[in-house]
Amino acid sequence: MDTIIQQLFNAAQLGAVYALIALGYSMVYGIIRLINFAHGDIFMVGGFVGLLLTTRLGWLPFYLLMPLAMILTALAGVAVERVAYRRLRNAQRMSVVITTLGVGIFLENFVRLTVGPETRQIPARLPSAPVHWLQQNLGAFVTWDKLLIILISLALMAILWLVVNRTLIGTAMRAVADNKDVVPLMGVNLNLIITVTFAIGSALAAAGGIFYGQAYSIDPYMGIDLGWKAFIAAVIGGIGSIEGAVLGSFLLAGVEVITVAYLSSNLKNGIAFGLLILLLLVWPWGIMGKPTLKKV
Amino acid sequence: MALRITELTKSFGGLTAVAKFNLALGERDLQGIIGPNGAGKTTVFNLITGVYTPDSGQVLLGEQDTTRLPSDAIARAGIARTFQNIRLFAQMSVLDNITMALHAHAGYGLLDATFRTATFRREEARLLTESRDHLARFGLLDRQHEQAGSLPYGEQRRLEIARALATGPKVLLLDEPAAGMNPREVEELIQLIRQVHQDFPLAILLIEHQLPVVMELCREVQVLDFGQTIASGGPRDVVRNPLVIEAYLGEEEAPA
Amino acid sequence: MSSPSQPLPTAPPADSKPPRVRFWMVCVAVLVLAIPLQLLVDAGLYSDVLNPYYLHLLTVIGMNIILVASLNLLNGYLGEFALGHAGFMAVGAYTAALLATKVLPGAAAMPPVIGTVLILLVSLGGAMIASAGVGYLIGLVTFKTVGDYLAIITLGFNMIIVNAIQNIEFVGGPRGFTGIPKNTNFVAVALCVLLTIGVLRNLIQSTFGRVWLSIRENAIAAELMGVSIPKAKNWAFTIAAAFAGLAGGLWAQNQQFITPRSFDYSKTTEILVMLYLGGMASLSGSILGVVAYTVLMELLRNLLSTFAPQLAEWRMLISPLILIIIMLTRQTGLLGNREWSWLRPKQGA
Repeated sequence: MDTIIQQLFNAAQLGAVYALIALGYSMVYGIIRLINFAHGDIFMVGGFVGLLLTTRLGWLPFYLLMPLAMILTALAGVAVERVAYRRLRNAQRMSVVITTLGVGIFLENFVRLTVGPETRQIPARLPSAPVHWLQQNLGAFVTWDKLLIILISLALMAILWLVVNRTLIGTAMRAVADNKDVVPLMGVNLNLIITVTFAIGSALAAAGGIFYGQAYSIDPYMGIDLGWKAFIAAVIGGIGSIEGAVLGSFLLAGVEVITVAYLSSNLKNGIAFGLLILLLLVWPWGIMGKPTLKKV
Repeated sequence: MALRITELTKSFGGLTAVAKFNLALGERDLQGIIGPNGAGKTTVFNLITGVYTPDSGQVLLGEQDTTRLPSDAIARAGIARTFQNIRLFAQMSVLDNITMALHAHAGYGLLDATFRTATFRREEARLLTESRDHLARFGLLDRQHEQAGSLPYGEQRRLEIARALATGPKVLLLDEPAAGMNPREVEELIQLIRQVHQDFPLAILLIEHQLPVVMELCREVQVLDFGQTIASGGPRDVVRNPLVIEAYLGEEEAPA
Repeated sequence: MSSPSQPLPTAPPADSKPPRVRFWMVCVAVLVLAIPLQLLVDAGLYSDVLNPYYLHLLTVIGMNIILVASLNLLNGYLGEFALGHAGFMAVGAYTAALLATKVLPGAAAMPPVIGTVLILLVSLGGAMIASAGVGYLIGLVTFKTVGDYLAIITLGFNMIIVNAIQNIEFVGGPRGFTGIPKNTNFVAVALCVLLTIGVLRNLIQSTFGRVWLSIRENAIAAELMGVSIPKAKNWAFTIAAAFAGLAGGLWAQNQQFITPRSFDYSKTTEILVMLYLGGMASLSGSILGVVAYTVLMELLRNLLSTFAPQLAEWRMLISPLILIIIMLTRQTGLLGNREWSWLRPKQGA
């Protein structure tokens, strides 16, 4: 019983990180139908920005440090969109996708050459004592940082949901996702919407990066592995759907934690991708995605 | 009978796009379907060609039931079509658009092609000759090396019809061939369809919005409105039918 | 589709003169240069000019041409976005390595040269068949998938293949496969490049190539012209995978050491960079793209290391920049979809 609860928290923590990344993939896809292959690397950059801030500005309290890292990473994400993607918005779709691949490799190598290829851990800034209540009542050993990571992530997702569903900018975002061509006619600034989407997606990814660096470790190539997992999660949930991205992330994390606990950690990537392929064969548009009708 | 359709029905969500559509198209027959925009005309074509699967009903091509076959099998069985918004292989040459259509009659296999065997060379030469002859019939031979997408609009329409005929169909479906044409081009198109009807051993079913085309060409016409057949018969009788006039008057532009 | 400057290379203008350079002439020229080069380098003659390192570079270029040209079949001609080419390469590399080390007798047990040639033929044949089989299966599973989803699924298969190999202790698991005999040399690779380019050219200029192009141009129209898209796609996947497997088999028997990680997503991306650098739907572009990329990387390495040895690594920053700049400025790559005359069909009557 106690180990099951511990595994549940492990899965929730991993799922929360996946969800923070997956939301960026899903939002960008929803709005401009682009698979932003560089998004995993934005997550990695977020982790390293967090590392830099904790080591250089150690006096900064965590509740200021994290927003600052999120803002800096958001600026990076917006800059990438502005420099590399915007000019290609009306080009062949594959050109943009390939550009995102290029941006991803660039970021990986840039961090590797400037910071170094080593695996690092972000110095712990969240309390790591066990949660007393859980230990006494359920006998489960769960640390405060794990619990906080899960709770803050859920809070961020809730804020995102409110922004998308309850604000003017969110309404505009949903309108663009529905029909990109009509929205500019209605006086909405398309560039602004896309910039905001990239900013939000990158900021969430940065939060994921910091959490991941606290809970596990960071390295310049983590964006490939983690990014892909999060992307799978977004696709499983139905890319373009916020609820789907969150659902898919927790589902994938659960499967992975179970695989590691009961099978072998070597198999987790294979099983993750196997799950993706199986699900796509059953639900070609993901669990929460919308099918499109062939137009002739 | 070239094509016999009985009670063909399709709905999307709660909306019935086509309801109990019937058609008897004889050998070498030429019939038309008219109706206001959104009446379900193109959906009928999409159901016949397997783009959509019908909810109920039956399509018989000659003796063969093609109702639930995949699109490519229906095409190979002998139904060819053109599209309302032209769908050429735009970056391929005019010649290759036709030669591609002969793929089912290529007469050589993958290994022949890989090693350029004698069979390959003989059959490929035959395909090219046939394609060029075919293009010549449609007055497009001097355009053979141009990109299909760079042709003027009227010639793109002509090439699309030529490409459909190159597959050797028993039934040809033309989806609004006169769309976007000026009166002179429409006149040429009518001549072309008449010529095709005379020269090729096939039946033609035509969707058209421009009534003159239908009046000139079709032996019999069905009028669709909201997926229902509201009238059918000879073109001159049909346009006098009060139901038809009402359906068309619901639109901004009344028929000629 | 963005507008290219001229029609596809399958139709030369009627009034053009018959091209002077033919494919067989190129084959002869390549072999006339390759065989003495290989012999001189092997003999250690003129080691200042005929540096074995240059020959190694040429060998790498050759293997990459096979990879890029075969991926071009999928991404350029068929118009799909396949992201798992290194996976096919891995299957070929491991199959060839297994055949060469554990199944076939050693070259020492057979007459010289002929023995090596036989082992090479069998191992490469096996590599192609195994990869083709995997390609066929993937094509079968993804028969209805197009666009973004096909990219995701092919990438997923790439990852699964790498992950599976990592879990097979018999082939070295994550540590890699060591002790593969060096059965290839530049001449063998050059022959395989000629074979690949020749076969792909022949197929592209046949009814199969026209069908692939028609799917890229307008899949619905192609289907309604009687094309079975799953079947056509499956052929393309099988053939492209077979050649990726060939490159993998050569790779294994040239490097003599392979690890699963050398066939992951980064390798696929490198192949993509060279493909888009050269230009889609052009075999000439594939050749030029590989040569330009490799030469550029080598020049950068030399140039940067004259300042400081550790700077050489910074070229890894320049290759993605090149890719981005190509996409922003010249999406058709260096050659667009033009072909050199010896890769165009003979003037039809």
